Amino acid sequence: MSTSASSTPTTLRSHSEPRLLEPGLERSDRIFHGLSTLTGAFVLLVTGGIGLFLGLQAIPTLRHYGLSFFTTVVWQPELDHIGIAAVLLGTLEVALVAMTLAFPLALMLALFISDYAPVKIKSYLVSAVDLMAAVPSIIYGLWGFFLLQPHAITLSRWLSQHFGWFPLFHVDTDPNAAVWQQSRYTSSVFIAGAAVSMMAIPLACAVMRAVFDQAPQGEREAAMALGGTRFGVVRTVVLPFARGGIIGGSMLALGRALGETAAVLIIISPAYEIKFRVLEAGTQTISALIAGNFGNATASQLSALMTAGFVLFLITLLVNTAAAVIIRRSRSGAGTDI
Amino acid sequence: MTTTDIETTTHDLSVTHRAASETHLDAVGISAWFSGTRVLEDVSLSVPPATVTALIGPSGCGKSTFLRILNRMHESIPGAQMAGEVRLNGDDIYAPGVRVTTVRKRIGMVFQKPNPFPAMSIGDNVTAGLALTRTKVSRSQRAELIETSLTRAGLWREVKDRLDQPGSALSGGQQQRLCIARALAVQPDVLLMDEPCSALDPTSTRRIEETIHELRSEVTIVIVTHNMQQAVRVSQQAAFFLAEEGQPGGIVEQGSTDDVFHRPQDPRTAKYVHGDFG
Amino acid sequence: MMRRHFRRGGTLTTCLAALALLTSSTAGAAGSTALIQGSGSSWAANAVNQWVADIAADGVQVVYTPDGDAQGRQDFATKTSDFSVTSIGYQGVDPVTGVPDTSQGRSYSYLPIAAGGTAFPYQIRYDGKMVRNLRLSGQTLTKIFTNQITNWDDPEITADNNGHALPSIPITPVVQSEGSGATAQLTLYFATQYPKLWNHFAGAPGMTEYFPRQGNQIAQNGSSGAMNYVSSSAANGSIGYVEYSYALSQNYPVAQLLNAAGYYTLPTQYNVAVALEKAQINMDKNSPDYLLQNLSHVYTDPDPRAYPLSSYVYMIEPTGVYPSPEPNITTAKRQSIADFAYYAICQGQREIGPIGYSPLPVNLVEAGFGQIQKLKTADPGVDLQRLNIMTCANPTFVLGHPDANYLAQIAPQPRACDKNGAGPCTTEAASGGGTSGGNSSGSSSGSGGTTGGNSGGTSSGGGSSGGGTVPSVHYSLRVDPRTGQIIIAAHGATGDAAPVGMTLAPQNSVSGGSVLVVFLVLVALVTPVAVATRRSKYRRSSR
Repeated sequence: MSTSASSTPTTLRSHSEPRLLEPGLERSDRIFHGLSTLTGAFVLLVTGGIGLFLGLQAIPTLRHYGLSFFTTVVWQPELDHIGIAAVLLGTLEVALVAMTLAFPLALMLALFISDYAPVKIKSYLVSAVDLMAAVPSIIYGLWGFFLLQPHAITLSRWLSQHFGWFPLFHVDTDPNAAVWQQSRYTSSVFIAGAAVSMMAIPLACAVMRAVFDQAPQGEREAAMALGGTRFGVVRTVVLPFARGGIIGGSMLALGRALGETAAVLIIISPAYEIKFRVLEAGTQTISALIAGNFGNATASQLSALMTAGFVLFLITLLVNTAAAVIIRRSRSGAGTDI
Repeated sequence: MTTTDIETTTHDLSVTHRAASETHLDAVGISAWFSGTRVLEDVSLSVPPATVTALIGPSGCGKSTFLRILNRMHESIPGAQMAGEVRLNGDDIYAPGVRVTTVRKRIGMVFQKPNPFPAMSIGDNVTAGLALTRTKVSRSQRAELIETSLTRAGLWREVKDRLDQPGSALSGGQQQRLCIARALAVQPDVLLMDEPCSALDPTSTRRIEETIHELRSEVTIVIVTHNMQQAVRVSQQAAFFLAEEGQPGGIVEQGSTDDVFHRPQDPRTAKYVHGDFG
Repeated sequence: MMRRHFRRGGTLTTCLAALALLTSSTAGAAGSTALIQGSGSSWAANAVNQWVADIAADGVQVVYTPDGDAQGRQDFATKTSDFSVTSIGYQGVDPVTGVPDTSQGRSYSYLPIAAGGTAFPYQIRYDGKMVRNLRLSGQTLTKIFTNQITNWDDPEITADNNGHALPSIPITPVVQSEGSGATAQLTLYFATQYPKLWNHFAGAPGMTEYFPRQGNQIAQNGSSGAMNYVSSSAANGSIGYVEYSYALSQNYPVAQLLNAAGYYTLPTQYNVAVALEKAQINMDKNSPDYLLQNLSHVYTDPDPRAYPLSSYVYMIEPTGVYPSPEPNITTAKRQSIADFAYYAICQGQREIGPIGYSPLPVNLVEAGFGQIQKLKTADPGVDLQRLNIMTCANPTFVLGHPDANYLAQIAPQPRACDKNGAGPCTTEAASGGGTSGGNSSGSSSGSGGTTGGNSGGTSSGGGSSGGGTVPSVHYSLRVDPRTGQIIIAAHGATGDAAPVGMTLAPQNSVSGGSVLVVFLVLVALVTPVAVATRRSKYRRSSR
């Protein structure tokens, strides 16, 4: 008794401080915990490693060209004129065109699947969207080149005929010519963007649909019981609930669109110009630039390409992080992590 | 009440509210299925005007399903089917050409779990039904509607100073009364309540029961409840549902609440109201 | 119908399998082989891939990636490939763009593997019709690709076509976006023949592998990219440059080019063979550029049959010693390289004529044997017993004349209407593809060198890819059993091996192919439905 009493003051801490608790886990739990921690660390390591690798590669280029790397339009490594102004603009243009087309389509598709489609069709459609996401991008590139482009140029021409006064839709050729110059309308930001949108749609649609399906049944029924139409239910319950998911899904798709390579490479005709005429032939994106040039690049050119890649990496990271934050902050995303 | 009334889609707020005593609701030969499994068989129930009718019975006997058939909410569940007729003042609400939105507007519903729209303010929640049915009202009409509806639901005094705050900020009981106010705002003839107090504490339950009591003269109410005392307290009519093992559910006994609880004809009813099973 | 096609395919497969069994046993005796990887020219890719498919039956595994000459040489220099295919040698530095270009110290030698013509597929459609008999002079061509002539109704183009004006359609030159051999051949021609025009456009003198795209020009990736663009329905008014085989496989019209004799010719195997008799080959065995070509006399060949833009394409083989400095080139790999090279310059030469290339003359094959021999010098373990000029089934051999090219001898004379100032021929130029008759093989092999005037007009139709009835001449070299002399047999037999590639597939397999496509599409559509059905069943049962 006396011994234990004497040891008490040293072992017992003050009750005003929280005790440190041991997890008291089973051995199997500890092993699994360790393994999963390792996997998590691995993912961080890979992402961080890519960033670090690109960042280190970018140092010599940025040191050599300085800020002019971001303002130079042309990409002529032989003449020591290197800049990503045009390429960055092209990347953003292709991605924005893709999202302009993909967003409404993905939203409508997701709404149809979650709220309008009969149960039997619903599961087919979910599988079909998954399948659409699984199609390799090169296939979409070929589709865009062989099937889409010949028809899309007609639309491009129509747009430039009627809305050519709007700088975005202007094409530097006579749209009303008896024999119009088809090739001026090919290989454009618009057509590349249209092909990329096919890859963005399933991604955005999958996230949106998942969130729409999570819209609380109670609120749906409340809206229905008040005499609401299906669209009324969508408007009052589903869309407000899923706002975060809609934005987040779209931004994920935007991230994908920014980095899309194969399809863009097939469709566009590389051109290093600052231009906003999205219907006109010729543009270039960062990923297509890298894919098309890294093979026969010298060490310094490779560094320049890596720097362009680093910029793309940062943009994509920013977009995806913003998407994650928006989704997590929203009510619908409280339980979802992307 | 004319026969074309059900098809009417416009809802004129300026018309003084119709007395509940005029509204008859009759369910005739109702059966229901979920994915081919029959859960209700040949249930008929007549709901007299200006009364509260309680549907009681053990879990899984089909009383909630029956309730949802009364305002066509049943069919919103995938795989759900039904047979029979529900007549609102003699007109079958399932007849071809009848708009489901019109039916639901005239037969409102309050659910087990309070489900205010969380993104909307308290005031917007009350008028959500107007927005959903695309009914245009003036600003003053809207304010008036909010006040009357919340007053009828017994919530006005508690929330009148914070109508702009989100509905989700209220307590559970307040939320449920908000839902009642929301349902009342579209001025239904019948109000269906699916265990409205099961998720609430005793004080809130008492408030809701008071509200039901006050509404009785204006709206015909059908309430599903597990709580025997509550059924006795709030209802004038009662119907006891029971599903035998492996059989679809049905009404064992119906009549005045007094009769069903104190002079049950069927031994199974007696057993249930005395708390022997369920 | 369908069933019959399938059965025919079945017998063919069986025969091939049996053949493979037979040949693999002999190849196995020659020494073990290993998978080799090569990359480079897309100009030569249709020929190389044909050989890759053929030799796979002998058990030699070759993977070829046609990612452009520049990339191919770079891959070889960095030892990421075992061989490379290129139409120009290592340049040291690209004259126009300044891109460095060396083997980075890796030992190599050049081995000519095929000849061919850089062709100019074009699309000019109006009133629903397609122009198929366009003629261009070198100068007009240069002006088109330097943005000086921008419309098909330009008077210079009209003059080339003997006053027949084309419709007013803007011209879209389609260039290749990566460093390619086709670009090199084209710009070399421009820089040699029309230096003023070219240098003004390019901003620097000399040839380049990287086309300096400007203005309305469209850049596309690789030969197939350029060819696909020109032939796509969105490209009216476009003209590109690719190896002839790419246009031929799509049955697409290519421009007839004006040669020094004043005739507009097509890049047929005959016309290319004729023109390349004027190629100056570096015969200095000590030069690093041994066997490389100087084409300036090809461009000005006065023979009326010559196609000016003809050239050879080369394989770069590793000649360093294993394991240092060649740690990856094992004996088995080098054996594969030797077997592949031998197949390419002998047996393989018989198949490339019909698909749009031209076989090598015997002197280059002999020199090629010498280059293959270097592989054994580097590694004595390589077995070259099969290397035998006697059994080399090259169709160009002329007995006793190693410099002569049999094809050049039998090459038909151009039609009178193909002459500058005459015509243009109203019928489509012979080798445009589908129109060449089945009797042409008989007439050309029978008439030999005596064909002249317009009688040979139809006989240059080696290009038709009309399936089993390819009207092409096949030659074999045999030893006469009585005299012991080498004899050349020319016979109009049908192909020994089916051409590879989807676009080259015989037409009788098209219906089978479309059935397969329909089947695959159905599978792709049905699978998600089936999965979904199962899923919903599962969901129901788990309820």
